[in-house]
Amino acid sequence: MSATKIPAFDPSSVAPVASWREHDHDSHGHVVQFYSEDHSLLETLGRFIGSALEAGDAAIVIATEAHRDGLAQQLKSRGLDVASTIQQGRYVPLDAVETMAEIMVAGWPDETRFANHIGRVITRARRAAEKAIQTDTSLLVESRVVAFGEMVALLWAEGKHPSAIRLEQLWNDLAKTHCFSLRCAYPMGGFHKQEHSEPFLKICAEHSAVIPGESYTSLKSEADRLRNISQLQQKAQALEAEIAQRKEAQESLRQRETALRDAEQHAAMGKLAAIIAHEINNPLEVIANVFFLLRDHPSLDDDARGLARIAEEEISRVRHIANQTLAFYRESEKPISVSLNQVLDGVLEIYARSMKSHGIAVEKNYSGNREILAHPVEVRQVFVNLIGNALQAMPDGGILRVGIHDSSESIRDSRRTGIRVNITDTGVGIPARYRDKLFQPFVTTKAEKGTGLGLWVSRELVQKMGGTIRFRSGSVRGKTRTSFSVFIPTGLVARERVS
Amino acid sequence: MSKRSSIRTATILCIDDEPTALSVRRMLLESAGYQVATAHSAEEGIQIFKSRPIDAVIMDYWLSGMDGIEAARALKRIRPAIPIVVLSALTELPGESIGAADRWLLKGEDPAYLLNAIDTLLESRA
Repeated sequence: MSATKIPAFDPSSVAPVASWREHDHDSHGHVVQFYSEDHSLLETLGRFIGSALEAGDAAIVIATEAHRDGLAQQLKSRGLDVASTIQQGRYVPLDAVETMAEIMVAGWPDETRFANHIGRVITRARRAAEKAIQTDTSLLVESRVVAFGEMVALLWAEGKHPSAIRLEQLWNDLAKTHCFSLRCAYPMGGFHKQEHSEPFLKICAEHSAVIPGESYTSLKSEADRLRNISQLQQKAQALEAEIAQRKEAQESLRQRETALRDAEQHAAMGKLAAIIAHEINNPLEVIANVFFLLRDHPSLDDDARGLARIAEEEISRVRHIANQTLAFYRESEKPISVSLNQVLDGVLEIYARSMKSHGIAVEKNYSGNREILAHPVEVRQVFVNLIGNALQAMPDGGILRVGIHDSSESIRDSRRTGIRVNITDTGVGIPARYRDKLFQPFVTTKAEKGTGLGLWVSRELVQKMGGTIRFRSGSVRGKTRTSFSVFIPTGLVARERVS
Repeated sequence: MSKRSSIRTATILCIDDEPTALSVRRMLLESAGYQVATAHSAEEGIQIFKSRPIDAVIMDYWLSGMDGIEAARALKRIRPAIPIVVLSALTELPGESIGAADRWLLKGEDPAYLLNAIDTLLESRA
């Protein structure tokens, strides 16, 4: 049995074979090089500029002093007489900061200044090169110009990203009227942020070729490069996941901070509400008690007692408004288990005297003892309002029915279990014109006697408990019935099957 | 003596550190026929409660020194069946304190509510 020979893997079959040195001899184009270490930049720059000067061409270098000095060392080590090329005018080293000052207006690369200044430098360098060749050979040759510029890198380092990209574009515009081969270089360390991704792509797009950092270009074989690409892809994958995670964490932190701020604000309002309630209700109790005593006081005549009664009614209005508006802001007490039977009995008890004097009978229908998790004061306030309204609707007597039973309610496709409380009266009913806006603030069916806050506040409080409130009012065979129905959820059960 | 008239001769202990509120509340209860004893602090109230027959207690929630709920608990320890009404000017009482009293009412509510509450509590215990 003969073993089948497996052919050796040829990396060039899956990736283009890259040769970074071929860019060193580019006679045209606009190439960008990314680098990590200065010596790596200076090495490639030495080859790029050196080979041009050796060929008798012109070279313009617009760089920092350190890079100009470093490059001069590289050129000398190639055996070039740097001083004489400078003297000939075909090697033009320029300071990047000084050149930038020539072409910038108000921090932005100026199109005209750039074209004039750099255009002049290129033309002069070309002529100098051509002249040098003529003196040697008496031949008329058109000389090449190569240029290296790192003004863009300086702008980038200063955070002036749009200016850097603009300057790259100006170089490209200049190439339409002048013939030169351009090399730009950026330190890779300047692109360390996620928000650099987009301008980084823009920079790459402004160039005809891109030379990656030396961690890649220094790799000897295609196999090594493919391994490196795979590693970089994995790193990019991991970083993207990391960034997504971080963004998510930041978003959740932001949400928590907002919630905390809201809670703090609410707590502050709660404290304020408690202070206001204290300052209003304490004197109000004294005033209410005083007028209650004056109402039937034997030492007063009928007129004076009448005035006391008016004052009492107005006080009741003030009390009502204060308590309804302060109802929304409570100090952050946790909800506790509240017995609806007890709350309703308590409310019926406070109205007992008034119901007796108006000839109102109560029919209670409680099925079991029902408890909810809530703020007792809020639950009480809802039913003080609803039962109070029902009683006011029956000035000439009637029947008040109070029912509590288990119930469930459909919300979209979920069914919620909870408790329903029905308050029904046999009073005057709610006129049809009020029915659509009954729960709006300052809407009242009771003329000047009502504040229009009770039902609005009740609905807000019920909604805060996650519940709903609705009403029905109408006449059957001459008998008017008005019923308010409050649903308070106690839990969520399985979603209904949607058929 | 009928049940109703025995209720109306009952003695109510009122505890409040606010003298004006206390004296007007006393007049309110007296106008309804009750006997009234007053105390300006929880500590004084407990002393009175121990020294003479009291049928029901009305106290402020926010007292300087021992607060109303603490005082209500102390009174219930002495006589668990004593009806206690706590008055609060706050829009909310701390949840855990609600069980300490038989009734809690907001100050500034209709005075009839307080009289109703006392009537009902005394009737149920008569």
